[in-house]
Amino acid sequence: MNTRIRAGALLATLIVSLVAMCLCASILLLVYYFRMLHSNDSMEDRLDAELFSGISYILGTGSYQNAVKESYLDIGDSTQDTIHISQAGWGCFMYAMVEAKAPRKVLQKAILYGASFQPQEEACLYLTDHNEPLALVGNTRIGGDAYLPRAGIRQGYLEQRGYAGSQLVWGSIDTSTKSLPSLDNDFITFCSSVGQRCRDTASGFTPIPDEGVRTSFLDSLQIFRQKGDIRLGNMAISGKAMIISDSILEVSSSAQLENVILMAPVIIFHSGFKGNLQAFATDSIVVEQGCHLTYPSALVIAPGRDSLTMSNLTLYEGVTVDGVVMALSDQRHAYMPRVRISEGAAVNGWVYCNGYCYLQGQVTGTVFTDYFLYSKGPSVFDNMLVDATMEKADRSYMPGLFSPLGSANKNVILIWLQ
Amino acid sequence: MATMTRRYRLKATSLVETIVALVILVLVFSMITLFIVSIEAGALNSTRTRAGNILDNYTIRTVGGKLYLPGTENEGPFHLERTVTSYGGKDSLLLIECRIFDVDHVLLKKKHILVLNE
Repeated sequence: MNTRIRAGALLATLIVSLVAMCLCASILLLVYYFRMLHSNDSMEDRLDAELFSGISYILGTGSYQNAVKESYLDIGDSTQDTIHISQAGWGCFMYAMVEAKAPRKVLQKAILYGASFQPQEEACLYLTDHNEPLALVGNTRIGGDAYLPRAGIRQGYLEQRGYAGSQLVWGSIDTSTKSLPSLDNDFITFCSSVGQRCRDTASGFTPIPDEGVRTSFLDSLQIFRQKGDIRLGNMAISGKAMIISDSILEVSSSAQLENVILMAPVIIFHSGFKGNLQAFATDSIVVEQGCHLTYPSALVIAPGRDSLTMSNLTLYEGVTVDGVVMALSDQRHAYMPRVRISEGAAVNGWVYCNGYCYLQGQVTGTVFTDYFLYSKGPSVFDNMLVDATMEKADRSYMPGLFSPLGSANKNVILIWLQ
Repeated sequence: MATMTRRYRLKATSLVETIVALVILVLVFSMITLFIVSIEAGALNSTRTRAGNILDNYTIRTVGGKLYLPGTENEGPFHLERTVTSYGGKDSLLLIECRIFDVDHVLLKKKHILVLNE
């Protein structure tokens, strides 16, 4: 049975038209979709370039500052876009947030940054000139350039041991001045405020939640202040958070800390702790055996004017600090602080000691100190180094080393936060 | 059989049917012509798109290679130019402007980027 459909011109035309219209519509949709995709891509490229410009601006301008600085950048690319920059001090470092905003899209980046290297930091040692020579004993090694007192450097002799090296300094020697290179004024102001922040009760107390805290650097600062001892353990705290105690702050090995700031008169890191933080104490910091403070961390002794004790910062055996170890003193303060880097401890970065440095471990980076001390039993020896190692930092290995010294006109990115 | 053939046959007045069919055909083909013309007009956009991609690559090459000096370059039918000025009176910052022109030296796109003077 043959079924024959006879159609007139109208039906055939309708069918052909319909097919043609469908084809046209799908091609139109495809073209629209690709244009939208291209428009989004080019907008993202533009915003990326604007973020890059914002970060270049941060790295090319300004030095350390405590207060939040908000600015808008105009590079003349698009009148619709805005580049918003927010900068502020974060402990030893600075953080910045860059926001590139188009009408339908926003890109944000947050970085932690610091001032780039100063000429003195190319050296591995800067010992202030107090008219005393530096004596080297045992397997001490100064593996780079050194700024030394006019009295110079010599081989020492202690307990029937002489200097084991074939030369005293494995680099060039320059003359140091009567004081250490000055730090940024705003940073000193921040450090001076640590004691007052610890004692501040007017702001009230905010306990740390048991489950810990995770905040973003794009959000506002969270301050947790507690009266009495604080023990951080079995909790994770990360981001733009500050933990302040008016007494002792203990950090156990089970605590997970990332980029936070701790402030207390006394801070103790118990054996085996590993984390990334900045600790500011007015009286003492103790880092027990086997702790690892990862890059970029900072341990800072910032004594208050009314402190009546000698401040101490002690790194025990097996401790590694990737960042900064700093002990500052107020000129009106009666006692100079002490930094003790025990045998087997290592600092990869900076040691800045406005007082006495007992160095028996290793520093890869730069040591700035007023005095070296070595104690054996009841005896204490001025400007003597026994079995200490100072090596010049390999900047290709640690590209993000920074400088808290003043007058830097460029900055370096330490880490990308967001 | 005859009944079935009759059922499938579409009846129409041949003159009216033909006229309507012709009108539909004319409409559809004019729409298709408009569509093709519109796509053809978009060829300019494809030139702009290509120019945009070339300009992006040029900017990336400039920043990646730290080519912070004024310069010109030709790529295919396009002419690229780079100007470098200090930004906000600061020696540490350079504002780089990259521009792309077509064969008639008509500016197709430009891009600014701020870099550190290293």
